[in-house]
Amino acid sequence: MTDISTEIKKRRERHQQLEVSHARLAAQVEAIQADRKRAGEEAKNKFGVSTFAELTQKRADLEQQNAEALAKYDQEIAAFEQSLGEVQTMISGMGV
Amino acid sequence: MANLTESLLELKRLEAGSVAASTRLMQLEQEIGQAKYRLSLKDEVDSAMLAIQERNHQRMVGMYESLLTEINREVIGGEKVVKLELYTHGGRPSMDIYMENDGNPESIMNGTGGAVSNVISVGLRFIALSRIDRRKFIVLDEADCWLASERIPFFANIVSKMGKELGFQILMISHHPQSYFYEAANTIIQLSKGDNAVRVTPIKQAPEEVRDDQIASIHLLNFMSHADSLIPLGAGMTMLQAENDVGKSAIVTALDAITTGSFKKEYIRHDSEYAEVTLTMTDGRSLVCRRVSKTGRNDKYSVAYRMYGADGTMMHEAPVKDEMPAWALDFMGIRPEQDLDIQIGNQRTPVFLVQESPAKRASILSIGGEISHIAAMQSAYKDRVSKDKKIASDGEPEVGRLRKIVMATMPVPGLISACSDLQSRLASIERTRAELVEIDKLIAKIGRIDGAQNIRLPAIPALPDVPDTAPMAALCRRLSAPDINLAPLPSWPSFSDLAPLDTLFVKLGRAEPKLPSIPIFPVVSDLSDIDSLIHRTRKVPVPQLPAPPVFPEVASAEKMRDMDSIIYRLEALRDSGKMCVQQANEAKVEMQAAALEINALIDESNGVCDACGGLLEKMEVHQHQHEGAADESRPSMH
Repeated sequence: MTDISTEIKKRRERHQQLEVSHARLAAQVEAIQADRKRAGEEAKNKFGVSTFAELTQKRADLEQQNAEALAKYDQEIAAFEQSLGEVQTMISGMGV
Repeated sequence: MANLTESLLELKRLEAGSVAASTRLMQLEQEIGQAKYRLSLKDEVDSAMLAIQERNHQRMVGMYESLLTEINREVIGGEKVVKLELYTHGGRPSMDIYMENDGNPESIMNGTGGAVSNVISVGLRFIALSRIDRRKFIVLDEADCWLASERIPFFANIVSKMGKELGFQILMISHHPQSYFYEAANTIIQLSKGDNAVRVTPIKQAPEEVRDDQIASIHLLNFMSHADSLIPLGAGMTMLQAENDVGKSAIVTALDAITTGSFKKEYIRHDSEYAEVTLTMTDGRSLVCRRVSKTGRNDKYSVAYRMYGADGTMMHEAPVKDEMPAWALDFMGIRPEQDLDIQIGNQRTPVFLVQESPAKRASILSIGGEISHIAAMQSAYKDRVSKDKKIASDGEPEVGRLRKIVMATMPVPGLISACSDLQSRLASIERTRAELVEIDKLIAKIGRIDGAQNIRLPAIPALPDVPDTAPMAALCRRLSAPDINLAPLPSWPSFSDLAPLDTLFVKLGRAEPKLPSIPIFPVVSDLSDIDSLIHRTRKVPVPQLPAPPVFPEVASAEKMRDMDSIIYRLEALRDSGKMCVQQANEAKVEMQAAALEINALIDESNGVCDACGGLLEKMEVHQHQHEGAADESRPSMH
């Protein structure tokens, strides 16, 4: 017969190691879950959304909105620069 | 993309320029309008200036011209007219004085052997004193010296008249007869030579009258030829008459000494150690100027002033050092004006002001101010007109330029607003971009977390609650020990021979005394017989047992005792055997339980060794009975 006692002792030690690893992994899983909760709260507080889908939708909306605003801005800045240039041309040499 | 901040700064600069241009435009338009309006009034202003000039001349100079002309005509006679001509020279008011005879100018100095200059000088002193803030007290020392005797009463009369008109207190000193002045002067004092000093003799005294702040008397003590001379002064003109070289001039010198502080040592009368001049006012206060020939314990200063109140109390005392005590000057109210003595005068300089510079004449008579003002006004107006013309001529092009700037910069406020709006929108876009970045980060983060959340940790089976390893190890050792390998229990020996029983006893560890041999019993194949026998020997009634056979009387009582002994021993053996069987069963149960536990552990580890990975064999669980082992099913042996 093998030395069952020694074997059992080894297995007990192995078992304890597994328990430690398991506990560590469980803590990590718990931290990840807390992170997830925080991320959800951040999304809710900052962007007023409650779900991940809403968040991605919000992002898509903002992106589109920004693109439109930027396009309009580009048009108006061109008009502004033209007007400014006209004024500068008119007053050049007047000592203003 | 344009730098909006720079654009905004540029626009602000343009706005500031626009505002400045607009402000300047308004200001300039107003200035030009005002200038043009003033220029339109130029002819009217010129006429007004001329009128003012003429009116001022008449008002200020014309009055004096009339006065001096009247004096001259009264004293000298004739129709000559005294002319005062005001003008500015070098920016300062100036005045010329001359006579006009049938429209022809004549010098005052050349008229009537100097008499005109005397008369005009007296008139000018009156005019000058009336124009300044001084005590209205005037001394005319031999002012009549150039006049013909017959003209002296006229002179005295007009001087007295002017004094009354102007409220002057006049001290006229003359060597001419008192009769010339008797009508004009209300007080006449005659000085004459006494035994050792000047004698003062009042000839005419004015009636007592209330006078405000006038000099009541002049007192000379040890002063030149005066040992102790008290000269009373009337309210109007006091005439001091004396022959030449009697002491008239000493009076003027004494007045000069006390009013200037120039009290020379030689003024001290010979054989005297000090001299004093005292001015007593009508209110009783007095001012003493004292000069000592030698300073000492009582006289610390060469020249000192003392002021006494009406009750004789000394109010002030001060030496004359660099300048006169202010309180003394205030008390007297007599001092030069622009280094020119107006009030005291001097016989040696009878001509007053005529020989001074035109600017000083105007200044002393204080009549230049008006002409200066008018001249300044005319000059200012001239400058104004010149500036207005320049404003009108230079302003128009500037107005045009400023209007262009204002027009050109009109869109600037709108551009500033647009620029600010663009800045706000750009900032909004940037904020949205930042939000997108934030959202991207959040999405990535949540994605990672959600992925991680799918991980499921397999549950680790809990270890059985195995007791301490030491007992287990002991059990294992017991189970694995070869000598405890549960060797088959010794079979029951046949009772025919007790030797094996002895051996069994030895094996079971019992030290039993060697049993005596017992008679050999016949082999009993059926134990029921033995049981019956036991019951019978115990005298325990066995129910329903057949009646025992009748044994032949083969044994004695001794044999019976032996039999009892044997029965006893057999019972003991049976109990021992049962105990052994029970212990063996217990050990077997323990062993089986241990084997089951180990097998369970092996099952838990799936039959694989954690240490080496080798296969573990399960332990065999003994279900069979060892050969010879006691068993409950085995029939009891009796």
